[in-house]
Amino acid sequence: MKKKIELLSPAGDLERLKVTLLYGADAVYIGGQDYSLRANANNFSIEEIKEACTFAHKLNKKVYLTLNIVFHNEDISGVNDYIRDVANAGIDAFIVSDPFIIRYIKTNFPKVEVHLSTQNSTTNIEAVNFFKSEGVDRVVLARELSICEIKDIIDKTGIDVEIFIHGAMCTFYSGRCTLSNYLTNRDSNRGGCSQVCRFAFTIENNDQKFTMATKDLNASRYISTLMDIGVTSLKVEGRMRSLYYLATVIGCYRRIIDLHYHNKLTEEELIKEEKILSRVANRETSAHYLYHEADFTDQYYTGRQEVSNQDFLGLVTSYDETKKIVTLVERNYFEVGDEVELFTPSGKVYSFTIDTMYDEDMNRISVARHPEEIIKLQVDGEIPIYSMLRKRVK
Amino acid sequence: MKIAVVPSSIENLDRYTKIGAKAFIFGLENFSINYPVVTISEIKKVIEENPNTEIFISMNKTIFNSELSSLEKILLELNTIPIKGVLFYDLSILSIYHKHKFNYDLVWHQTHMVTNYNTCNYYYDKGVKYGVLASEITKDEMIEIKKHTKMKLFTYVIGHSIMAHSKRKLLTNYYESMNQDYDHTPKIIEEKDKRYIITETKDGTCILEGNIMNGTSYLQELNDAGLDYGIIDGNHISDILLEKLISLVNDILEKNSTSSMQEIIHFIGNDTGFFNKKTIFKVKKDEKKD
Repeated sequence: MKKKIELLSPAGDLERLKVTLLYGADAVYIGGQDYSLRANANNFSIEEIKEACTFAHKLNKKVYLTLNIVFHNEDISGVNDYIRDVANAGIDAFIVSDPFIIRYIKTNFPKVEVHLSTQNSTTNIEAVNFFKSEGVDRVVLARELSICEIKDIIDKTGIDVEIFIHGAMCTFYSGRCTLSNYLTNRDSNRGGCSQVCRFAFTIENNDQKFTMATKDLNASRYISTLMDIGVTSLKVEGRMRSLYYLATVIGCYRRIIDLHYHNKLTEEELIKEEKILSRVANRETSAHYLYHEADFTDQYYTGRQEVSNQDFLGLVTSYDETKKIVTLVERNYFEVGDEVELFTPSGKVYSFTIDTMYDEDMNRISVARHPEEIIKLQVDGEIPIYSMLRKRVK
Repeated sequence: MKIAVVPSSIENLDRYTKIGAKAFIFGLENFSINYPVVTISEIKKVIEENPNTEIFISMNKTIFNSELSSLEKILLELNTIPIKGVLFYDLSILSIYHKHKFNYDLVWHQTHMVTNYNTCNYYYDKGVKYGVLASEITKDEMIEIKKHTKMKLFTYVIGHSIMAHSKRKLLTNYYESMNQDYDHTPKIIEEKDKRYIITETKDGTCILEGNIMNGTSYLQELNDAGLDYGIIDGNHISDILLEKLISLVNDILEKNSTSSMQEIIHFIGNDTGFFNKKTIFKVKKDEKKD
C-alpha cells in the first residue's frame, strides 16, 4: 500500500480556501494579516482563521498559517500574542522561517506543528537534522533540489518533507534575494517582493535585454515518483491566484495522486491532466531542478512572458434540481453554440454545446458578455455550488 | 570597533595591517560565494605572516548532500590551524560544528537574515558568538540589536552590497539562449540608469550593487554603540583604492576625522545604502502614510 500523500493548496481568502478544499486539497496554507510573505494579499483575520479551521476540520482537513517573514526588531513585539491567538483559533501548523519562533511555539503550543519554510532554502541532510533537533515537524525543502537529493534527505533524516510541485518559481534561492529592497525599497524577506527578477536589464556589449525570469514549475509528470520516494506533502504555489486556477490545478493533482495511489495512472490520463493544467497556465512551465540542473530552457529571454487566460466562463452559484437550471456568475464572454464543460468539485465533467441561455429573469439571450452577469443554463446533472464552466478542453 | 577587511588576494596584507586592518575575511575555495577565494595552504601562509591579525574564513555557499563529506573534512582541517572563526550561511556547518566542538568560533552570516536581536540570541545560545548584520537594516536597528544581544557583531561599512544569489547560471544561460559563449567575466547590467555587477561561478550567479556602499557617516555612532567589527569589502575594488579606504576608515575611527570622510566620498561617493533608509513591505498601507 502506498503512503497517503498530502495535497497542499494556497488560499488567499475564505472563499478560495473553501473551494480548494472542496476540489480535493487535503490541507491549505494561508497568510495572516501580519508576519506573512504575501504582505499585500488580502490575508486572514483571526476570526477568518477560526472559520477556516472549523470548515477544514469538519472535512477532516488541515489549515497551516505562514509566519515566515525574516523578523526585524520592530516585528518582535506582539508576535507571541499573535501566535497564541492563531493557535487558539485552531490552526494545525505554523510555517516559520525565523528560528527563534520555533522554540516559542514548541514550548507553548506543543500540539501545533512547526513547518520550516522554504524561505530557509534547506538543501541538505545536516541542515534538516539541525532543525529536526530543534523540534521542527516538517521541512519545506528548497526548490533547487533534484528528486535524488530529496530522496536522500527523506531516507537519512526520516523527517516529513514538503515539496513545491506547481506555480511560480523564484530565480534566486529563497531568502537570498533582496533585489526588491535595492531596486524598489520593498523588503522581499518581509513580504514586499516586487518581482524584480521579471524586469529587463541592459547588459554591456549586447543589444538583447538581459532577463532572468523563470518559467513556472509543473511537476505533474513526477508526482508518482515523489509519492514513491516518501514525500509527505505536495505543495502548490499561489496565495494570490484565482478561484478557477486553484480549482483546476488542485483538481488535476487530486486526480493524478488518486490514480497513482490506486495504480491506475496511465500515460493517457496524465496527458489529459497536463492539457487541463496547461489551459490555466499564464506562463510556460518546466519541472526545473527536479529532473535536471536548471538551464536556459527554464527561463524567458525575449517576448511576452505572460498570457491572459479566458477559459473560465462562469462560477456556479446554485442549481435547481427540479427544473435542471444551473445559475452562474459570468467571468468571460461566451455565447450560444460554444462548446463548454461544467466541472464539479468531485471531479465530474459535463461536456455540452450551449443551445439555450437565459438571463437572470429567464429571458432568452444569445451572448453572455458582461463579467458578473447572472446567467442560467439548462443542464441535467448533479451540479453543486462552486462548480465551474470552462471552454471545452479538446 | 576593529576594521575587518575582505582582501581581493593574499598580496599586500602587511600593508593593510600597518594602516589599521585588525582582521581579514577570506573566502575558501569551493565553499564560498561572492568572496575572492583562497586555499587552506594559503590561509596557513597568511597566518604565519600575520600572527597578530584575526583570520576569519567565510564558507557562505548553500551546501548540497554531495558536498557534506568534503565540508566536514575541511571544517576539521580548519580546526588544526589558528583561525579566529568561520562565517557560515548553511545550517549544516552549525550542525557539524556541534558534532565536533571545534576550537574556532562560528559567525552567523546568513547575509540578508541577520535582522533582529531575538534570532541573534537564538544562535548565541547555540554557541555562535559572532554575527554579520544584514546590509538591508538601518543604523538604528543595528544599534538596537547590539543593545539586546551578547553576540559580537560585524557590520559592512564599505563595499559592493550583495543583493541576490541564484543556483542558476544566469549569464551562461543568457548567452546560450543567443548561441553565444559566456566569457566568464563579471558583467554590468543596468536598469533605470542604475548599474549592478553580475558574476557567475560554478555555484551560480550573484548580483551586487554597482555603487560602493559608504557607511562611514555612521561609523562613529556604530562604534560608540559598541559594534565590534566594521567590514571593508574589497571584492571588485582595486588594491590601491582598498588601501586608501582602510587608511581613511582608520582615521575616522581613531581621530573622528571629517576630512577623511570627505575624502572617502570623493573616492566612492556617498551611497549610504539602508543605514538611514527603511524598507517598506505593506505597500498600500505605507503609501497611504506618505
